[in-house]
Amino acid sequence: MRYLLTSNIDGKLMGALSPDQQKSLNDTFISFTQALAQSGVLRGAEHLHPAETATTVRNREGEMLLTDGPYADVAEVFGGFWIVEAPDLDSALRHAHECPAADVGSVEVRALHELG
Amino acid sequence: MADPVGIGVEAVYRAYWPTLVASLARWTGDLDRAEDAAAEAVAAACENWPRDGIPAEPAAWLQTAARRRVLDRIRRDHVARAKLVDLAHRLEDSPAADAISDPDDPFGAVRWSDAAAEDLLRLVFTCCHPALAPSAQVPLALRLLCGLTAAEAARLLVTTESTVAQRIVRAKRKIRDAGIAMTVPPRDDWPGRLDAVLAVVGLVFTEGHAATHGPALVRTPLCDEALRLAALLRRLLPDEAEVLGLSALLLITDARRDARLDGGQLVRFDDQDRTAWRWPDIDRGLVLAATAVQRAGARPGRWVLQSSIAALQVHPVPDREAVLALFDRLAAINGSPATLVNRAAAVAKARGAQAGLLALDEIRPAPGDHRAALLRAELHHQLGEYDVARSHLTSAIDAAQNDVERRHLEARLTDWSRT
Repeated sequence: MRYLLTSNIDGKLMGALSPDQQKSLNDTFISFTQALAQSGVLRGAEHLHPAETATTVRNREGEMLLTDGPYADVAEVFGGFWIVEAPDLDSALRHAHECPAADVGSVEVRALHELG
Repeated sequence: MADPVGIGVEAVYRAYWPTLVASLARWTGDLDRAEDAAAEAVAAACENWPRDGIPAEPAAWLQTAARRRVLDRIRRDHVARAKLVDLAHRLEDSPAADAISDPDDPFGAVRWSDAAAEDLLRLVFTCCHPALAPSAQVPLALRLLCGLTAAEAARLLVTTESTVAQRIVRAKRKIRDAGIAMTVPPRDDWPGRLDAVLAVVGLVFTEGHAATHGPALVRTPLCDEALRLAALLRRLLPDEAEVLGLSALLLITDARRDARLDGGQLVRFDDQDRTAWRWPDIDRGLVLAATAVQRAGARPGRWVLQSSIAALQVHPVPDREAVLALFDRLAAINGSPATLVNRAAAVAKARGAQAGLLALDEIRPAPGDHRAALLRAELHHQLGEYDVARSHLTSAIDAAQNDVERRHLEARLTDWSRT
């Protein structure tokens, strides 16, 4: 099965880190992704620009409405994702446990709907 | 009517239900199909057995009936034809258990082949997977492991049948769609996974023993289901200290069931009529608790510690310091508000009311829990501080959600108002 791991970063926890700690956290993100790639289970991964750079679109009564910023103002902000191949949920959860985003926010794990 | 041990059709099929579902779940790889087919086989048994007698091998009878129904269903379902071929090839693989010989405990009588036990263990770990919410795990366990219908489970949990049915459906869908594997987890993952299993059994028992809401304090049938689950785990995992500890705790606690109520009124532990306790169960619990301690070695878990505490507490003259020492260890590994309040009570018994109040001061009470306020009230009362005691008792009454418990507290308030 394929699973989507989404990273949701808690701004408060991130802000509390020293520049050195932030740098080492970044390195951990890179090594986590590399380890997934090397073990052959990585099917895709992307890292997003900060949430405040988002533009949100809504169609209302024929009008296109734009909002500057993310769709909801929440403590944990969607920051990136990985798609991994895993035999079952437990294996996918182990990857999530290894993911540094789980230390400074949360990692949501969801199976992808396999078409066909 | 043939009834090998005179325990009735329901007891017989319930004894075989968990292995029936478990083996169907492995065979079909699909909990839905397994549950439906097991239910249909049981319905057929309820129809046929009273008329024709209970078959000599009830397990084999139920397996055959259920597997025939799975195949019938699939035959009617074009899409699933391919699966039929696969299942037909595996039709011969081991059905589960056989004859009942001793009705003493619900499963003690049923012999499980290793394969049947393995199937059952897989089902237990699946129903109690930590990725499922407790509100899903409990109804799923009551349905698939205890063999209750959604209506029966709803009655025990004091909710509606549709709520329970929905939770079961959602849980099964999550198991399927999220890819929760129906496997026994690797040994390395056992501590956490077994914790989740034991927590489900503990939750079923707690909800039965001290119902958090509603008119009755004790929901006896729910306690019975928890004891049944504990017995099942003990059969499957006889060497796990925590399983033995949980079993011991439930037996010792449940043995006091009849003494906790007197004419609909709650009776406090210290005031209970000890002759109304079921001593044979307590004795069995004490033996299990002792074995659990031995198996646990240097690092007893929460259930071993709790069963040791329960074992000490039924002694006519409990060793208060030993109880407190166990509570200290328990609080170190499981600092839930309930544990900390109970620890404060143990502090008060060992070191006096003032020390108990100091221990209470360190706890942040859980919202909606009346027990911290109640203990505070009792301790102030012991110290002769009656006004403070009454005001805390009033807070406890406001927070209590169970009708029997609230009546008990209100009666005490009336009593205290005279002092």
